[in-house]
Amino acid sequence: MDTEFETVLPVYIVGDSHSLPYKNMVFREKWTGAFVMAHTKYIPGITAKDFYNPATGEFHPDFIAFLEYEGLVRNGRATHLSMDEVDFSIAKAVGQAVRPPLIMLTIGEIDVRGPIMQLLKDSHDFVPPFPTTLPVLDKPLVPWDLIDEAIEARLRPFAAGLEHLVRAGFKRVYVQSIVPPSRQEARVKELQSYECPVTVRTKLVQAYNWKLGAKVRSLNLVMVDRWNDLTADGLLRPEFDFDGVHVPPKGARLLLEGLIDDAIDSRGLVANHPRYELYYQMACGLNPFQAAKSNAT
Amino acid sequence: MAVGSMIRTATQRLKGGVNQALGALGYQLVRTETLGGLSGFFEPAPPSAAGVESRPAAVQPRRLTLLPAANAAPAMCTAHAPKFDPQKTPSQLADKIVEFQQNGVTVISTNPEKAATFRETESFDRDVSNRHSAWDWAGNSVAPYTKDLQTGIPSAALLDYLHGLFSGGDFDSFFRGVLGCPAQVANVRLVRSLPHETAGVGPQEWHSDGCPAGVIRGVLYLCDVDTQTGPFQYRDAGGKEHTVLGKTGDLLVFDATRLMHRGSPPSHKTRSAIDLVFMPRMPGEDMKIMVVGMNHWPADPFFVKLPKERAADQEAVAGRATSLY
Repeated sequence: MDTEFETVLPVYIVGDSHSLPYKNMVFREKWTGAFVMAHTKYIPGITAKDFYNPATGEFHPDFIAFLEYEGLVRNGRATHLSMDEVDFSIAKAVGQAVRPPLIMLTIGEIDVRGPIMQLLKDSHDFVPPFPTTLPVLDKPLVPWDLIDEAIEARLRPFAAGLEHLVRAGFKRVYVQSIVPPSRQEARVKELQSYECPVTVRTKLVQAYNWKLGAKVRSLNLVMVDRWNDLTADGLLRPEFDFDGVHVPPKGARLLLEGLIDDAIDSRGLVANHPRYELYYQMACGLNPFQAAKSNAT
Repeated sequence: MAVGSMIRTATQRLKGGVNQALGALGYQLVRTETLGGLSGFFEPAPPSAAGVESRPAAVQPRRLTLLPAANAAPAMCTAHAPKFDPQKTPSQLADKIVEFQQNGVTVISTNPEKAATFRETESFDRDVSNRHSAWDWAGNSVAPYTKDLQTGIPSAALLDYLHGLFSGGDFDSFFRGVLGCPAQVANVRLVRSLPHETAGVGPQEWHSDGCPAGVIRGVLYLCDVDTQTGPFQYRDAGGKEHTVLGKTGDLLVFDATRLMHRGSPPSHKTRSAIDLVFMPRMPGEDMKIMVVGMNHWPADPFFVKLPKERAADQEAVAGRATSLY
């Protein structure tokens, strides 16, 4: 009997602890009715600054380990674009279409909470170069240039890593925007050992996302952003204020749905040209692996 | 000799002592070579050419860089077709094969009465929203991108007709000539272009399709197409613009990646046509005709699963996520 089987749509979510609310998440998306399943990897302490080393061209070892574990990379190559006979055999055994994977990075919140926020603490505020409904407090202002420079220093290596990923054939990479910070002042003080008012913290996250979004767009990638759904009056909605750092799984699901909403309409990117080349050669009676074998001997 | 023996004995005693101490903590000293052998035993080796069985392999340090890889459409989609020689391979459509190979486009007359009948009997009753969206298919957006185009699902009668037409000897030899292999139909899509004065969008703009290797396009006119009906236009290798007028039943076959092209916006009359996507077929496989709505081609030609159609969901389309930035 020929039984029709259904497979899930995997979304690979990797990064700091903001990848955790996606763990074991499965839901049916509204566009095709397919099951979306999050494959997550939590890399403790990873920051935008140490995601990628532009000087050596090397990624964080745990990131590469995750890509290898999930079968997305083998011997430093994106397996979905491989014309290697080994990867062809693996795809044949899997028995499913080979398409560019959907990957989302959750990286950057530690950078904001750590070195950047320390410029402000409870003593300063700043005026961002974009409109915001959040107030300017009666505190000395740190010039935007300094904030901009601090964010830039953290984002530059991250953006270089994204560019490297695109060059390696990963063009369906999404970056989760930093989620609106908690309103729980006491919890924040406990975590950071210093105070910083929620309006300043939130504005800083907006500033980081503003710059992150521009960098991500310049690489033809997408930043996943559901700010309007996660906030009310400019601040994190109480129902998403979870443990003082992360959004709860229902907030993460909103973000993942945002990714799906974009991905369903960017399916121009799903055609696997190397696989078509192999198929076309085989249909023409050619052996696409023969040349590689001849070169090897 | 005596000194060497003493050193060996001392080394053995030292190892024994360290092992004893580590053993109390649940650890053991293992030589590097032994560890390599053990890791190789547990680590699956790269699959063999014939399958995916594992064999022992040496442990290699993890590469932390990624090598460049491209996922780009070829410059032309029929690169593996040998140069056609009408003397060696006689064909009713030999001149069309030669013309396609030279120019990337050709026009073949098919039954005009049949085409006229389908113009009247087919239902162009849908907008161009993609109701067959699927993760394994490249295709248009969920929401309609224009109101100047209407589409519809082809009838069983039309599909039967096309199956017979493209399975016939003439077209079989034609596709073998232009592609170098047999073809199948990856999509049949009804398209009605309404007259309008605004600039064309989507297929009515100059564009290249970025088709994968072996994928070529076809347009079967269901009406006469003159300059007011929005004829097909393309630019040749030298950039010269060509307009292809046609009669009911004319079938244009073209390399949509090699040639910049468009269906020009009809100024006064409605154009009815059938859009076709042809892709390679493995020798020995039967001709298939797929209907996948506003999709283009499968993501991976080795594993093709037909997408399911879903009911129009205006609420879902309208409720798209918006960005603050």
